[in-house]
Amino acid sequence: MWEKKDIESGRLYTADIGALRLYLQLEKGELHIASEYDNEERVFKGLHSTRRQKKHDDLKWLRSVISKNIQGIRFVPRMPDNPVVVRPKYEIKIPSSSEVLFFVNIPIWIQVSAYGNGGEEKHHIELPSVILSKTWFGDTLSGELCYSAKTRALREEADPGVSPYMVTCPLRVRNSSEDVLDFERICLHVEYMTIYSGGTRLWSNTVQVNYRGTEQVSQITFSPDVPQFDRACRKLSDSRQTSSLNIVKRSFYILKNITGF
Amino acid sequence: MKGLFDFPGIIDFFTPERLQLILKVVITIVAGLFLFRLLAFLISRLTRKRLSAQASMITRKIIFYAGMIILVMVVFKMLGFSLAALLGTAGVVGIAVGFAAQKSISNLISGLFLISEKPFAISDVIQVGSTTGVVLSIDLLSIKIRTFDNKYVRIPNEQILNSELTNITRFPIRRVDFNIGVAYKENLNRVKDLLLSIAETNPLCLDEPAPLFLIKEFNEYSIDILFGVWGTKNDFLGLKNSMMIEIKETFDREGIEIPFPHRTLYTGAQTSPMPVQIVRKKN
Repeated sequence: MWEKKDIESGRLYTADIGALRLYLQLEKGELHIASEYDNEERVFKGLHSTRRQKKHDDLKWLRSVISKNIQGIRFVPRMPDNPVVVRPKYEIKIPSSSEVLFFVNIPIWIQVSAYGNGGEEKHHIELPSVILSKTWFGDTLSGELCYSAKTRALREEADPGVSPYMVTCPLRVRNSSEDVLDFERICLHVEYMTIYSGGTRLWSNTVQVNYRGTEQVSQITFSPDVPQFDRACRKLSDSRQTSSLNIVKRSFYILKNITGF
Repeated sequence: MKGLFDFPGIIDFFTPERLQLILKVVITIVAGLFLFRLLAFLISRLTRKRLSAQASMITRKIIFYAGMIILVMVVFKMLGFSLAALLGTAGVVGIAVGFAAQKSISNLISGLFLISEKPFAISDVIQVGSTTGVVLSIDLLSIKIRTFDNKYVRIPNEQILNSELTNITRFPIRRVDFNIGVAYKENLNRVKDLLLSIAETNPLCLDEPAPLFLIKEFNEYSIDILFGVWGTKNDFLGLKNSMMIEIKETFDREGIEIPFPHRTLYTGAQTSPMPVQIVRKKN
């Protein structure tokens, strides 16, 4: 799925990733790209030539000008372009002075890159594999725009239900405060995460969150090392932003009662 | 008349010394104007990154006007006027001007209060009275607004300070409220579920803060509901339009009635006689 694939000029190709169906065609020095989304997950299919070679006129096509020696296409998995607020399906309570490891699955963005004879690559377009709903992390006076995702927040890495378009994020949460931590939701700054290829799925680097109570901001560390799960080894894409090792950010949000309307 | 066209007298007035003085004054004024404009411009460029746009503009204007006062004093001194007497006269003139320029001074002072209070900034959308628009500039005497139909409106600072002002874009998210009336026969739980599902599927609607569903009152001909959804301030119009369309379409599809009062129109001043029909004759 993530390897380079040569394509012929004039032929229509498609790929199904998550709810996304991509259409690609190389034509006269241009890369034509169109996309459509389904309400449900499609059967995962890598880039392939379609039987129906007629272009879909009902779709909105993007024409990307490319160099004439373009040979093929490569899909690159990327983390979403905004932070993701992850909500466990059921509320989780973490006792004081405890550390827990969760595995959170997040849908990837697909970056379409074209490569030439000399091996140089140029990125053209980025699309989400699944349309995530938007949410606000913070209060009505300040905060940040995020995507919203629900997770089962499993404690074991062996999750048979992980789709190929999902990246598993190991999330290590330490409660250094004296209170019980109500894990209702967490804002994951995925822009600092790298994606690796594992034996059975995609992985990100480990995120360590040190919760120090409601009055203090949490300390977040993005591990620079390759995750030690599922024989993960090959780096597929870099993080969108480079981070310092520690980011002091507000990650946990304790829901306040909002009575005004 | 003869004195007015007394050319030899006029020529006698412009002695070489006086001409030299006039030339000096003109050069001083031109150079001074150029210098202080340049200084104000450079200060403005330097402060642009450190201060807000309005503070930078105010600093530039203070430097320029202070420079003009200094220039006027220098020119008067070159012309031989006594500054002490001039300042004394200025005091009297100042009182007279103060009475005449009350409104302008009030606007100026209001402008300083607005700068310190910062109820809005350039590019904010504000509403003052019946005027709504984008703030173009915040000046010493007034602010300038561009309305959404592209009109240019100047509002004196005093008016802003003394009236209610709404900053529509101060906070990053806004709630869009919909007042919906449904018929008494409708199942309110079903209406609630439908509205919440519309909000959930709308891409511009935020999951959190959660939508507000409130049954306001049992009105004369409908049950009134307030349904509020949250979106970013930039998505306000798009969210409002898309939600209105989706609510109407969903209600039509699901058979949810939105009642409204009916009116019957009669043409002319007199109505037709009440129609009577004989159903059964009594023998």
